[in-house]
Amino acid sequence: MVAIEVRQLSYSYLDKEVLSKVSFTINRAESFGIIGPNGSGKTTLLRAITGMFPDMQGEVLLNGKAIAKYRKKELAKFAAFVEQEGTPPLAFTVEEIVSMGRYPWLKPFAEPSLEDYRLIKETLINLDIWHLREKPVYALSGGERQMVSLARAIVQEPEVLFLDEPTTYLDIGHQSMVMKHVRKWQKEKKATVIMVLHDLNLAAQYCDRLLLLNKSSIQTIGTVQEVMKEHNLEMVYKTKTVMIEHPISKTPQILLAN
Amino acid sequence: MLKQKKLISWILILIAILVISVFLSILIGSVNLPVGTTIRILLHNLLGFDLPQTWTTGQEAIVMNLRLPRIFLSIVVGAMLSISGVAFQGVLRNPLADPYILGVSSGAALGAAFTILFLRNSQFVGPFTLPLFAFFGGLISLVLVMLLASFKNRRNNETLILAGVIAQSFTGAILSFLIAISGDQLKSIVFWMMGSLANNDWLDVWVLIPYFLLGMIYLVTQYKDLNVLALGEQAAKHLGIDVEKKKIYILLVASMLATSAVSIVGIIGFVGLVTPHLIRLLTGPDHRILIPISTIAGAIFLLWADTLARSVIPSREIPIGVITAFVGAPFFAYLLRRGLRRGN
Repeated sequence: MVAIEVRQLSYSYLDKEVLSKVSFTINRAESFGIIGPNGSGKTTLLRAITGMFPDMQGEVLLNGKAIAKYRKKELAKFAAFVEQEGTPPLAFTVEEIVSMGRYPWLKPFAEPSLEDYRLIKETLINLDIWHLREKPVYALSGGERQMVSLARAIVQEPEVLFLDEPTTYLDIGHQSMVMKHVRKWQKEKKATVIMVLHDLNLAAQYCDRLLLLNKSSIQTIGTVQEVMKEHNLEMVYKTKTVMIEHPISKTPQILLAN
Repeated sequence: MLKQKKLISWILILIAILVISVFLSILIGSVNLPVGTTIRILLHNLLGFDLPQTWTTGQEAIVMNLRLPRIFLSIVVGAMLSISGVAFQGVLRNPLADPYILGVSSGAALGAAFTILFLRNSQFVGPFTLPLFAFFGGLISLVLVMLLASFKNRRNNETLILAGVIAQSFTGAILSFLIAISGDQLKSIVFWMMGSLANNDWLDVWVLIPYFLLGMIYLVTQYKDLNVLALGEQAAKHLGIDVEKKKIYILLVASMLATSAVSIVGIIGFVGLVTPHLIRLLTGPDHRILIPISTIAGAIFLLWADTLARSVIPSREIPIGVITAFVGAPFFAYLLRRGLRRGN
C-alpha cells in the first residue's frame, strides 16, 4: 500500500533549483529515511512533501489525494511534523505543549476531553517524560525538548510522522532515545515515518528504506542494504568509506576510511 | 477545569479592583467631594434610585459629566491598548511588540497634525473631524506596512517589524516638517501627540465601545490559535492553522483597536507594552487567561495613570504619557534584569 506518492517534484528558491524532477513512493507502515550531503535538498524535499511550498511544481499524493487539495486541519489530522530544534523555550508547561497536539481534532471552542487527556498521559508515560509534565519548557534540556516535540506529534495521532533531522543537536543517549521511541511507536501503530537524517548509521539502523539525494535529485532509492554501499556513498559524499555490519542489528554501518 | 477556575477567580479579583478604583478615582480631584454625597449622586444617576437631591448641581456635574466619562474613557482605552498589545506580542512572538509597532500611531499623528493645520475650520463631521483623519492616517500607514512586508503572499515577522520602523521614520519626518511650519498650532499638535484624556465626554466613550467590543470578542476567541502560534509558524502550520491568514486577521484587528483608541485620545505609550508582560508574569503564557486578564488590567492601569495625571499637580494636567512611561519604564527595566538573571 502506498502512503505517499511524489511525482516529478521540482522546486526553485531564488532562481536556484533545489529539487529537480524527483519521483518516488513511500509505502504505508514503513520507516523511510532521506539522506544526502549538505545542500542536497533533504529538508526542502521533506517540507515539499508536507505541502509547505504551494509554488512547487509536480505533485504529492497523500493516500491518493493531492496534498494541495487537503484542508489545513484535515492535513494536520493525517500528518505530524517534528522539527530539528524541538519545542522553543517557552513558559508553557510540557503538558500544555503536548496537549496542543490535539488542536486539529478539536472543534473551534472545545477543550481537550478526558479521553484526550488520557491519550496525553499515556504518551507522556510512554516517552518517559511524565515526570516533566508540570515543568515549563524553557527549563528543559535540548534532548527533553525534542521528546516534548515528539510527544506533541504523537498526540496528534497522525498516520504519517515527518521528522526533520530530529537528532542533530542531541548527544548519543538522547539520539537513541528519540529514535527508539519513534521506531516503537511506528511499529505499534503501523504508522508511516519519514525522516531526514544526517547520521547515516542511525538511518541504517532505524529505517526500512532509504532515499539518497545528491544535487537536487535522487541518487539511489531502495532498502537499507541496497543504498548503504560504499560506491553509492562515495559518489555522493566524495570521501572514502568502509562498510561493516552492526554486530547486533546486522544493519550496514559506515566508517570513514581515513 | 483547573484553568477555568483560575481564570474566573482572576477575573473576579481584577473586576473588584477595577470597581474600587473607579470609585476612588471619582473622589480624587481638584474639587473635594464628600464620600456620602458621591455615593448618593451615583445611586441616583446610574442605578435610578429616587433620592432627594442633597447635593448641588455643580457636584453632580463634576461626577457625571467630568470625572465619570473620563474614567470610563481611560478604562476603555486602557483595555483596548492592552488587549492589542497581547495580540501583537503573541502573533509577532516579539517581547518588544506593542500596539504601535506597525506604524499605526505615527500614521494617526500625521492625520491629526494635518487636520489641526489645514482643516481647523472644517467641521464636516463636527468634533469627530480630527479623530476621523487620525483614524484613516493610522489605517493608511498600516496598509502600507503590510504591503511593504509582503512577499509571495507571506509576511515574515522581522520584516513586518522593520517595515513598521520604516513607516514610523517616514511619517515622523513629514510630521516634524509639519510641526516646523506650524507656527501657532505647534502646541496643539504636540499636545495631541502626548495623548490626553482631558476634554473628552461620554460621546467619545460611546464611539469607542463598538470597536472595543468587536475587537475584544474576536481576540478572546483566538486564544487557542495564539497559543499554538507560540510554537513557531512552521509548527503551527503543521497543526492545521492557516498561519498567513490568521496573522493578518489578528494584526488587523489589534491595529484597529489601537488606531481607534489613538484617534480619540492621542498616543499613549507603555500600556500596551507593559501590561501584557506583567500579566504573563502573574498568570503564565496561556492566552485563554492572558487576554481577558490583560484587558481588565490595562483598564486599571490607565485609569490610575489618568487619575494621577489630573490630580498630582492641583489644577494642572500632566500628560498621561509621562505617567505611563514613568511607571512603565522602570517596570520594564525590572523585567529586563529579571530575564537576564534567568538567562533568556
